[in-house]
Amino acid sequence: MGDYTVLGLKTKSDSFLSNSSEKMVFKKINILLIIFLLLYLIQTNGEAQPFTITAEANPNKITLSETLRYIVKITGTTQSLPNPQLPEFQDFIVLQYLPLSHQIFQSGTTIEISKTTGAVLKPTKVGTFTIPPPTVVFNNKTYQGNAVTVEVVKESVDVLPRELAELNIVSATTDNAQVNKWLNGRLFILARAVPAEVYIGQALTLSFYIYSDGVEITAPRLIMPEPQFNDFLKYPLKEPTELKFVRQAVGERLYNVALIRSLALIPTKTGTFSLEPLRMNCRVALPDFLRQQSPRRRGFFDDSPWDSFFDDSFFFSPFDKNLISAVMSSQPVEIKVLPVPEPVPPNYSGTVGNYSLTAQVDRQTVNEDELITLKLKFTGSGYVESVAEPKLPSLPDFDVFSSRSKSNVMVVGENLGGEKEFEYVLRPKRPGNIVIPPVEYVLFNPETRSYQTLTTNKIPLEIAAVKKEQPLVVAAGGKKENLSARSGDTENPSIMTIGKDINYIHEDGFKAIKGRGYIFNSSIILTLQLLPALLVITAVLYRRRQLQLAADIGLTRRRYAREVAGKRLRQAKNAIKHANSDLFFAAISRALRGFIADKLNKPDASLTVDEAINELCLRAISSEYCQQIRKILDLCDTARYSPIKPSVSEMQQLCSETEQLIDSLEKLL
Amino acid sequence: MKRPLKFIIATFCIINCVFILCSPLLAEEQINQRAARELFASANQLYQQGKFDEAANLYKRLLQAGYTEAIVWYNLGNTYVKLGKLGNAIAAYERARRLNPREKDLLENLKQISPPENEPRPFILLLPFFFILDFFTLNELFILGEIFYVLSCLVAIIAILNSPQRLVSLSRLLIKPLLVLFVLTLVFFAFKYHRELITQYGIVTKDKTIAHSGPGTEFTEIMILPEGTKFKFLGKSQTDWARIKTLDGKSGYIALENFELI
Repeated sequence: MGDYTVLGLKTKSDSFLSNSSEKMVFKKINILLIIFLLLYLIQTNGEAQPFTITAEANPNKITLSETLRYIVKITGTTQSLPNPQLPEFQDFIVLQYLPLSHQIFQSGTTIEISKTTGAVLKPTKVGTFTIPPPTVVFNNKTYQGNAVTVEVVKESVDVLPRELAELNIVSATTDNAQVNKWLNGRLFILARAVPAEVYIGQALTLSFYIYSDGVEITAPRLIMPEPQFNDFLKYPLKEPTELKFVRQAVGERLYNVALIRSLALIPTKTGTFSLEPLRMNCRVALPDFLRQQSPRRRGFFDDSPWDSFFDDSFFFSPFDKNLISAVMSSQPVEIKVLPVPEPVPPNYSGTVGNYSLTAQVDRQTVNEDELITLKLKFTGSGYVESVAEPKLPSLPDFDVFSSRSKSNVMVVGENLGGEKEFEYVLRPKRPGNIVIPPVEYVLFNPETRSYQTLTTNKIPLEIAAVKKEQPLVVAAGGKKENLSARSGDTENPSIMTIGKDINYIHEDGFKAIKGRGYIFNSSIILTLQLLPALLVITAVLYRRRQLQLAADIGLTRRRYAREVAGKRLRQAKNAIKHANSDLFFAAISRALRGFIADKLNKPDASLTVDEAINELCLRAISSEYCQQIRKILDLCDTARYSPIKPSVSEMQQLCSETEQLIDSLEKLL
Repeated sequence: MKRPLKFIIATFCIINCVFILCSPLLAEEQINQRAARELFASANQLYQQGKFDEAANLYKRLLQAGYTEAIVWYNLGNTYVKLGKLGNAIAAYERARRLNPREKDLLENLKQISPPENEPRPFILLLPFFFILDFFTLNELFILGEIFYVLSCLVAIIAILNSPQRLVSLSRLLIKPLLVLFVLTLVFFAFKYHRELITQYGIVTKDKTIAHSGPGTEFTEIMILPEGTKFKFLGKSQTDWARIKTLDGKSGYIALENFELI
């Protein structure tokens, strides 16, 4: 019986485990168990921290007289987020402890809580110091954040650092000499061109920075016109929307530096050029010792009781008496543009840059009547827009159609780069195995300061013969597309324009009608224009007349008396034809009586013969007519009730007499 | 015989008489039409064969004979393009555009061969106005105005007479919009009339034509006009020079042989 070990404990071994091979098995099991145990311990010890702790110093580079803000932030999703504990600040004096603030963010379903605290610190000596990490105690465990390194330099001196003095920087100026003296070396724009000596066509980076040493500025604005750089092509690299200051030591002086803009310039001429300065204006906050001395115009609101109220940074206004307008201008920068070195190779393309060249076709096996797209692609650093088109080698087996190019300019760090692609459409002239020979391209590489020949690989093609005529197809990404089927799709990038012509003549639509010129030149048409207007005028007059008549009933009756009587006489004549004496006499009586009543504007029914004759006499109608009226009306009254019927001739005579009488009265009344 | 029957017979006789009297004229017109169609087809065939000079001559013959259709001007313009006479081509296209301003092929060709416009772009709110002005021909604007005029009068008559009753309310509703449309069409017509019939335009037919400050080469050279430049023709001087004004407002004199009036 022997002993064996499990998890490091000695155990009595059974008899059947006594042999050596069994011991080996158990040894392995033992090792495995130990590994599992270690893994468990690592897992429990390394359990994911339920929060993160970060510490930062802003700024992390200061002078002895300046202060910094040390901020500790703890962020997590747990509800019981602990409070961070600040470390001990050796070599710093704590001017103020910042109160603990809470913030809650919600992103989707998770809620994130953060707590922030910190301190305002002032250094006690010059050097580089590390503030120890902040700690947090959570569930009886201590967690640590990151340590922060702070560099403390000597007090800034008014002397301009040698590096800047050599550059002939131009300090900001105001209309006050004392302020200008104070601003000297404290506020300026620095223009930096890298490199300052370039070859023609080589891009250089020109950056403008604003430098400030303890000067607070507000409302910075570029002064128009901006520099044009006429002898250069321009490409913007960085144009920040707002000034973001960072601390930067220049010599023994510490500046707040912000990038204004950065652009790539590509010279188009050789020679030495002085770049135009960038100009800005801004408002500068005056230090205490200059506030009283700075003269200002006395305005309407001076000495008002509101001065003390608005004399606060919260109420910033352009009329603030503690702010003064300043103008900044970058220092002149000289650029030397060199021509490409001699001797220039005879096949030099004119391109300057560091590029590689590749050639590829969209497919290598095509039919005789199909088109192949050959792409030559330049990739590298330089201004790709200015890459000249390569000259294709002799391609006797192809028809080469016009090329097109596209370029993609990219900004890599502070330099220009990108790619430019030239596309050629080739149509094979014959079937068989044809090779597109290598394309050679000579450029000048400013990095190596030498000419460089780029060469592509040979491209073998297999051209299959076509027996029957098929519609023209264009190869695109290995697919065939029928042009006629997609002729309307001009936006499709796979269809390439290979020629341009005017639209064809029109063969149909000729009417063979002699031109008649302008229709409004015809006098008949112009005369006809009057017709609608005349109709409108007639309608107006007619309507007016109608309204007049409607307003005067007597006039209407007088006007239409003869017409109405005429109708009744026609009824009488009809009665003669039908030998209806009763109807005849009634019609004659109605015609005469009605006529007189209409002319006298009297009611027809109530007008007696005597009354009618009296009225007529009053209107100077002769007695002869009056008697005739009485005679006809009496005859009509008696004849209607008489048993003797009159003859047709008698009735006709009476009808004509009545008609004559009415006509005579019409003239008189 | 009843009266309507008499009227019908009389009308028939009169129409027959008119037809018999006019038949020689109609027959002649038909013969002319056939000849014109044949001439047009021949010109097209010559164009197809690449005989552009001869095709141009046939198109010009058709135009001289009075067949001033847009299609003839268009085809003549195409022929000039093939002959490399871009200025003449633009002038022909411009004439075709006056007759058929909505023809797409014509507008595309004109755009393709025209030099960059030197006319200042109109104010953006006036663009619809100029679009309508370019969309219709002068005759179309006249007919449109005529329709609105007649309809306005008709509606006015109904409203004045107050009859027929069922149309009175509709006529009162329509009269104002119809009058507005009539006045608008009248304004468009007046503008178009001024542009086409009162202002005379010309096209430079010789490339790099030099404009001088006076009517002669002895005067200062002030402008170089590319072929196809459109300008306002201000009048002819006593010598063979014309006073012109470019569409961006610059005046000068060019020789008569260097341009073609539209």
